[in-house]
Amino acid sequence: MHEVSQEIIQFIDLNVLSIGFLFLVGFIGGLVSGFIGSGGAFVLTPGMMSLGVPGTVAVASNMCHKFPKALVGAFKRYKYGQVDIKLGLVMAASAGVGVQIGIKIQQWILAKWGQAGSDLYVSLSFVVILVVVGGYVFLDAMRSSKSGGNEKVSALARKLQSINLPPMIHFKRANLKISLWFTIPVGFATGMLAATIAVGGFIGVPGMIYVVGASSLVASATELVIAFVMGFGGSINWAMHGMVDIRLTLIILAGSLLGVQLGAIGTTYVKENMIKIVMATIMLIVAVSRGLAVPRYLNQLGIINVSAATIDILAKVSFISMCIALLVGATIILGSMWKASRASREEYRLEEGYAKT
Amino acid sequence: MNDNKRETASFQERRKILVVATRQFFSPDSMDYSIHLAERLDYDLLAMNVCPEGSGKTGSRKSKKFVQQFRRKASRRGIGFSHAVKFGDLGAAVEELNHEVKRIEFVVADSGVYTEAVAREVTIPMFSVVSNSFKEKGGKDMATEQILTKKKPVGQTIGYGLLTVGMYAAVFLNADSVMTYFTKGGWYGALPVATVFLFSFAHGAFASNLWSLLGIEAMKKDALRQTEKKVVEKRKKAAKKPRAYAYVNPFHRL
Repeated sequence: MHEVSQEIIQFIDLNVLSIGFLFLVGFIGGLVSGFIGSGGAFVLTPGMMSLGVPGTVAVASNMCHKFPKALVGAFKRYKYGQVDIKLGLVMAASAGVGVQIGIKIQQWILAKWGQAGSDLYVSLSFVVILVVVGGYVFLDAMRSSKSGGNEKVSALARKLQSINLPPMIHFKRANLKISLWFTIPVGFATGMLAATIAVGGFIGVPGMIYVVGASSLVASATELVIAFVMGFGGSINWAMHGMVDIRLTLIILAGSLLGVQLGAIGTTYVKENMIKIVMATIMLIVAVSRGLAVPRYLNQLGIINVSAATIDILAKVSFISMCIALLVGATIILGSMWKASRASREEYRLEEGYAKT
Repeated sequence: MNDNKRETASFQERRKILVVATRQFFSPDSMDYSIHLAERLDYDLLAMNVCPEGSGKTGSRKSKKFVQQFRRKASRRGIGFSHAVKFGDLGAAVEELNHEVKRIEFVVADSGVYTEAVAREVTIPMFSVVSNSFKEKGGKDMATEQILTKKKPVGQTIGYGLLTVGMYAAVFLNADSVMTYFTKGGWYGALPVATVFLFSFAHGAFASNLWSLLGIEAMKKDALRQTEKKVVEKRKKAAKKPRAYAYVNPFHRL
């Protein structure tokens, strides 16, 4: 198996179309992850597979582009004072444990119900978690945008912060003090989700906001640190198995390093609430997209009976709606950046005009 | 006017800074100064234009735009803002407003306001903002946020761009041999990991310079006042703590 996949790597064509596609998805994915801390992977892996790249190579190459991207994004946002390195490292350490457990659960399910059962488990956890968490984030963002877009620390986070259970850790940048015992589960859940659906940030960022009590600016920036640490570890593992197609990685990286910096710059243009809105929107659309994939697995398991043509259409719609999720996120980010910069230009012009009077 | 009343009612209890101008708009210096002051002290802002009797030109589009801008600047920092227009004598107008609205702590006068006229009638302390564009002889300049014009990083962008292109060319022109070594696994696994680090350095620096060359840079308006914000937040927290009162029995030792 190992040898076969290597043969395939060497012989996939890289034509202009596929290079352009990877570059573009890299750029948009980078833009989104620079802004909300994660994203892009959920389109890139199936996207590469649709170009004919074997699954493991797609996952490995994607992960190998993810950690330098997160590094560049985290560095940029660190300069803006948004990254809490200590929080990131604590979360990453507990996420590492979560990943191991997540893989064990996956293997157990794979052994018991086979590939289709495992795929069904992945899709269902995708749908359930994204709908619940994404829906909550969306409602919260709507609520606070009605009251002027200013964030408040959630009641749960305030309660947890007030419990004095040693060891208490002071996170300077996030400006909070909380017991280690409450940060570990958040990191653990992030790791488990990362092992299951490959996008840990969808639980890590809301977890840091609503459970730990960090602002969405700090949470999304700190997520980049977690993504770097975990991606780095994962990439070394994949590289040692010789699964990384460096050409694919570098093409995606060419786009995503441009995107991630633009996204990081974007966070300084908008109100913090915007991060929540973008994240929730993407999560909900992705949930729909994964929901569309469920009938196929149910069919494979023989629970329901759907025609092959329907399943084919559903799979296409599912992939397209994933791309739409990313595009919608990117549009909101660029749109709000453009609006903010226009407002500041107008202010500047008014002041210029004033100076002339 | 009705709108103003409602707005003022909503922050009746909070302490306020009154900003007055005798023109139809406020100078940027006085806006910045009063907003920073309000942020530091955790006060609200009340802006007032006082126009000479019968001028009747207050509703002009330009003055509305200035008020909007003032409001936007204030709301961005979470400061309550309201606006009023009065006609006639400046001192009388300030005094009148002082009766209508409670807890005006002091007045910031825009540049060009003749403060002596107010000082005669009003008992609230008053500060003048001397604006750059209205500098009189001997007048001091207010420190304002400067718009720094940085040099565009043309050379760096080109340098890192060439380096990136060279590195990409090196990999893709030798794609075959690169792929055989990079996918060998084991210790050869260090090759792809080291490569992406190198690329992220060169290409990352290029991308960063490219965006600033294109004029897309971070807005640092908040970073300027970080320390101040922390102090205000601490004070807000401290204010909410319940205070301990000592009970002294007046009949003790009687």
